[in-house]
Amino acid sequence: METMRDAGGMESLRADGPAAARQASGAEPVRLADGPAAARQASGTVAMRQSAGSATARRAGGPEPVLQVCGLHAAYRRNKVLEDVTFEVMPGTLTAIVGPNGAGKSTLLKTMLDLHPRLGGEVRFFGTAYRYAKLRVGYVPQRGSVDWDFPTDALDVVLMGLYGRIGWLRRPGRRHRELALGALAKMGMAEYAKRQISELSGGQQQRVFLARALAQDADLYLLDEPLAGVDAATERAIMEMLQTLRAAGKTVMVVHHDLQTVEDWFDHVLLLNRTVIAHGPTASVFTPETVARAYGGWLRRKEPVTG
Amino acid sequence: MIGLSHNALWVLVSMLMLGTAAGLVGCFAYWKRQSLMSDALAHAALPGVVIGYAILGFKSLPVMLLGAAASALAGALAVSWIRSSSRVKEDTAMGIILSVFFGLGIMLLAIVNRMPGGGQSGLNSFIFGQAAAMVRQDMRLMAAVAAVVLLVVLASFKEWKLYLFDPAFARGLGLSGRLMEAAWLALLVVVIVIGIQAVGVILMAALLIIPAVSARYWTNGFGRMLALAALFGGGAGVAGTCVSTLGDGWPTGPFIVIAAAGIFLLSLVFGARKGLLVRAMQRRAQVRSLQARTIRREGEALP
Repeated sequence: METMRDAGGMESLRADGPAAARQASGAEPVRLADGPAAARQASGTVAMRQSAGSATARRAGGPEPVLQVCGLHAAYRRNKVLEDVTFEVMPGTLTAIVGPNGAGKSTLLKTMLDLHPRLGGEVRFFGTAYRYAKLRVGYVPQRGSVDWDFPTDALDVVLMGLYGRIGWLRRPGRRHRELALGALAKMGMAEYAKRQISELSGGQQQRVFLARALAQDADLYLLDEPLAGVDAATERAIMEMLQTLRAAGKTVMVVHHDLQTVEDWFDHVLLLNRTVIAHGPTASVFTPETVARAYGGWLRRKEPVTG
Repeated sequence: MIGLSHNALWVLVSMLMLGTAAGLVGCFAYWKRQSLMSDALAHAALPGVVIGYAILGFKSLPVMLLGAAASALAGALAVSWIRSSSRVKEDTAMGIILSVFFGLGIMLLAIVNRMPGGGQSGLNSFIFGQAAAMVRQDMRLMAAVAAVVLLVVLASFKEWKLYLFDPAFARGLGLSGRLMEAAWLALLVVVIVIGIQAVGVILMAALLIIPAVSARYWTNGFGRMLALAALFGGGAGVAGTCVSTLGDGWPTGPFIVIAAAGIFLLSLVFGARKGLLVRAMQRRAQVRSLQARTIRREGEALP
């Protein structure tokens, strides 16, 4: 509960945030654009410069980053998936996490949220460890991560987003039901409230997941491929919702697969391929050169293995 | 038949409580996709029962049940150790633990039965279950523990639903995955342990699995599924016990399982949500409407 009130206090701080934040992080892609090899080698030094930069911003009374990831490493058994991942996300931004298959995008989210063991590095949410900021972080897992045959209806799933607020061992009341219904309505799903979740289409299931995250009323949202396999109408509904969230001062990060739409929807991009290839405002960072480095580099490295 | 003596009433009440608790915990096992785990742990409880008896030298249910709980937990630890430290998958690990622990239990049982006085130990009733072998105290213990399981499940219903549907999201809301995992294992072991005397280690898993699966055919709500599974489990427990008392020395476990299987067959055919009959009717209605539409279109196409 403390953290919730704390979140309210942050709103005033954030009111003038986004613009300043975008400017602050706008400085770093220029450094990164020096050249591919230099960037990869220097990712450690970039991190230091970045944190030095944000320290200046803080001294100047600017907004603090909502998310700081420093030197994050993670692996699956023998394969190293994340290597020295370092970046900062400022409040009021909408960031696409882009990279080829196996680049570690989902693993990055899971490792940040302590759902996957980290080999090293530090992650700070709102300046503190994840376990102290849990309720302020809304995670939307991949749709396929749960069994949709589970016997429950859409409203019930959205209600789960409120469990942290309802309190453990307590029953949800009518007020909570109305909040959940409101969240469903925002995703255009009000009429499906009582529908069995197994009878929903893929896009509708994704909207239910989004509604659950909305009900949670977090300050930072992390979404794992919310647009995978959904139709154009659902994509629009989801992206408009995310933009409303950003306009309300929330911060959103989305694992995204479709390079075509990055520029339409996102103001920031994090190009990832095991490590951060480039990160910053879409306009300056999302260039054919950086995309080729994120995707092409992967293919080249794969060649000797595949033949 | 024991008629309606005081003792018979106690047997029925304790079997009802056991079946209810097993039905609830069985639903958790179903959605955790760990039905086989209940079978492995039930078999793994046998060595503990025999060792509990051998240590004391006489029959004391609390001690034997503590032994059963200890060896079931050891089985669970062994399964997770095999899974995490080798390339062996969980189902294989369960198969290994199930057979090794059960083999060990039977071996110990053979040794104990040869000890002086061992032949009258009544230990054999733990294999197929013998509700009639229970004394009043045993039943009280059983009913009380089952009532605790029931209360725990009712109080934390919402948490279980969240944890079973989306454990990653549950952790994000601050619900400790480790705590829920431990609670789940504790519930499972407790139900198995209080059930093995009446149902037996071999068939105990059926009382956990069948009511949950049967309930799935009737409803699309998690709460209702739990309630129905509890009802089916309790019903099977009572019905099986009643039938087993008709013959002298008939084991209870097989009759309970047959009763549960009867409920399952009825659910499979007549279940309101996923039953074969309902599905067939829905399909037929679809085919009919398609035929009607085709005939109409053909009629229009004719000159």
